[in-house]
Amino acid sequence: MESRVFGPVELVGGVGGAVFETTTELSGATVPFRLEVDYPSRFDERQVEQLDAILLGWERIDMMARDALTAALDDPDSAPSALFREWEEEFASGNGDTRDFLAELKPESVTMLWDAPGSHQDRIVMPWGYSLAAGSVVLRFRERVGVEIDPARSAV
Amino acid sequence: MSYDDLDSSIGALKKAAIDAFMADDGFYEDKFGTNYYYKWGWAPNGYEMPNASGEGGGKVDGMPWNDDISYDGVRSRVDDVVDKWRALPTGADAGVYKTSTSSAAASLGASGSGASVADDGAILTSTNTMGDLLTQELVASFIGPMLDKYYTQFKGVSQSLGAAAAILQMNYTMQSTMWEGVRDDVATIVENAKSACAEYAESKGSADFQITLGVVATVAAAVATVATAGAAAPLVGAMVTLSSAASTAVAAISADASITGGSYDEIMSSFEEALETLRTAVSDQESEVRTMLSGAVNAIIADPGGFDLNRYRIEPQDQNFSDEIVMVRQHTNTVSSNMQRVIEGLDAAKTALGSPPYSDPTPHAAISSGTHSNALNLFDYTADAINSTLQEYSRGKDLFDAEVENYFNADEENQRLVEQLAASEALTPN
Repeated sequence: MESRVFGPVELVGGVGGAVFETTTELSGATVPFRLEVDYPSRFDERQVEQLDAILLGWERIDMMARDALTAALDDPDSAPSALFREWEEEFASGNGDTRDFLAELKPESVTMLWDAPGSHQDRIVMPWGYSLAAGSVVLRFRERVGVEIDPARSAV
Repeated sequence: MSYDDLDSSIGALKKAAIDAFMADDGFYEDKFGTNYYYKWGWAPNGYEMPNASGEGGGKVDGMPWNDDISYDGVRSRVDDVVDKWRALPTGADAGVYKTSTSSAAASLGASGSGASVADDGAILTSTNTMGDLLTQELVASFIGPMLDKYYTQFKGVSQSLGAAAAILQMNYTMQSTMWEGVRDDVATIVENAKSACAEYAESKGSADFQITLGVVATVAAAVATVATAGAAAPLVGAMVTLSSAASTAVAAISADASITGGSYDEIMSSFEEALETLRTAVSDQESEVRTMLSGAVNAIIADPGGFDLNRYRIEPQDQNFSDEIVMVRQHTNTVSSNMQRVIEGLDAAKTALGSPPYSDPTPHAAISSGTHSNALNLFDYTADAINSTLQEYSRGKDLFDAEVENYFNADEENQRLVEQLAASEALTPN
């Protein structure tokens, strides 16, 4: 099967589930991309066309991610707020502009769960950060629900 | 929603079915409220939704190399299964025949509604009075044959006519009451299919709706065992047995249907099956009633003298009659006046029965073959037999009156009248 974006798509794995991995450019970053398919026998040309459509229309996904991150910054207890404080410390001497922070954020990897069953199943999971050395916030794009961001890890 | 809203209900089902069809492949109503299904509810690729009646929709978005989708397949799947249920009768046109046959049955001392029958109807009471007098108070050579035909045989004939009318009553009761039940059941099945599709599209869980078909109980109530007053003659017994068999069979028909499934196809298949279950129930019910109706006609054909008094030959008078004749005007007048009452009773039954419907009062050829032609056949036999019995009974009364007159006043005139009437009474057409 041939994707317009990835070229040949070969699923590796068996009856229990298969995986396709590659590296690609999304949201202004080069990221590892992992597609998980629970029912490889049903993953046909039609499904690849749908995958291509999502990849080629990624600005919508990007917009949903950035809107969610922006909204989360209104909550000081959220994981993005905690990450913002980290970034402030490192780059702005405790006096940062959230817009600058948001401009630095990008996905670190993309995992797409194509057909795992569940009516609010995670479909796209993306950790976002400003630097691979620093922390990240995990964005989950859930079926029907939309974007949810994992909570901040509670401090010990 | 009721059957009156069926069109609108079917439209809502089509919309829900399309929602389910798209949900199978992970496409859901857009989270952002545009009129599109998007992959997962929010991804960039999708298809326009149909309107609330399931019309239109399918235009592709976000995949320019792809074709629009057509929802015609879903729409026509719904139409294919539902079209035959669209123009059902209400049963109102059968109501007048339910009334006429029930009224005729009652005046002949029978009931098809399962109620027991009192033996105080005019025909039976007058027949018993006249029979008692003929047996106990009058003695003559013509009394024996009169008793045999106009009392003993006649009681069986009038009961058989009543039983036939009661069987017809049950048929028209069924046809006048069942169709509201079928209409309700269709509306319920469509509504449940819509809910199942909507629930599946909403949650991707399995739907499971249990339905009880109301038409089954309605028809079971309409088809009872025929009740008659007094002891049953063989033909009456045969009709009672036929009705009892039909009643038992109809009561055993299952009323269960369901809409289940965890995918568009499973739910739609179970919707198709549920309507087919309804169709089978109606068809089986009518089949049992047809068997009862045609069985009654066959029983009548096998025993024509038990159904039409004109087909029963009066016994010849005893040639060796030598008893002392007892003729008392008081008693012969009473016999005659009671026979007149019987004639009026038969005439009332004939009028009450009236004419059959010549075309089916509840046409439904797309669903099942109905009971109309079998009912019409029995109706014709019954109407003819009541009329023929009435005329023969009238001749019988005339003969009795002439014999009595001849006793009290034996002249040539009376003698000739007796001979004439006896000859005409004895005529039995094929």
